[in-house]
Amino acid sequence: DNALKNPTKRRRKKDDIDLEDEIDDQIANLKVAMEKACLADNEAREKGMAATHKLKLLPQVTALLNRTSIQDSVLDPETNLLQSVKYFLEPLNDGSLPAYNIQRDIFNALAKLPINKEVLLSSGIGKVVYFYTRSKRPEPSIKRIAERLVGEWSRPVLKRTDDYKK
Amino acid sequence: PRDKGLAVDATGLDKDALDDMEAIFGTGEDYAWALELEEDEELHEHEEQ
Repeated sequence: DNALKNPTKRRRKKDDIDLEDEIDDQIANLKVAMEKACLADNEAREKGMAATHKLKLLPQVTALLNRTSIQDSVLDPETNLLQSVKYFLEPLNDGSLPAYNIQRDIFNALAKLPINKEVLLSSGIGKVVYFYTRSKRPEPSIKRIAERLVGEWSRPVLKRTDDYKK
Repeated sequence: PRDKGLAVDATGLDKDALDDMEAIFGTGEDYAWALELEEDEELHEHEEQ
């Protein structure tokens, strides 16, 4: 639904269009690769093999997430990169968490991004971050970031309630 | 047993805010299966000790 409504159509400067299109393509390709890696890791686990596909893609994922100059594209609800990031953080079919490096690098990247309500709704990233606050499996350092993010992301929603009361 | 539900104390929240919280963070059911697996594993470990 959110993708159809396209509520945050980016205002594009003419000169930037090519570059932005290129970045959007790059993100779209990465999303496909990320989703394949998630499936491949689950299959590997089921066969008793090591889940390495997501790990191999991780440098590319964090490179995009950490590039401040393309934050608009990364956080665009239409490109919805954070939905694939959510898949990366999800527990595998056997209930185990993705590798610690994946958790650490992605949570650190998420903590630096100005994530708004719109991208939260389109990506569902809040659901998996909330799961990390409830699970006993993550390292304390990861849980701390997850708890902080849930706090930060719920603040605008809760603040609105306060505003109504005034 | 783990508490189910929202990420914050929902007391005093209006319905719109509650709906938003659920839309963003889920109802607690989304990954309940993983939490259940976790608890089963823990139980199993205790039994083995």
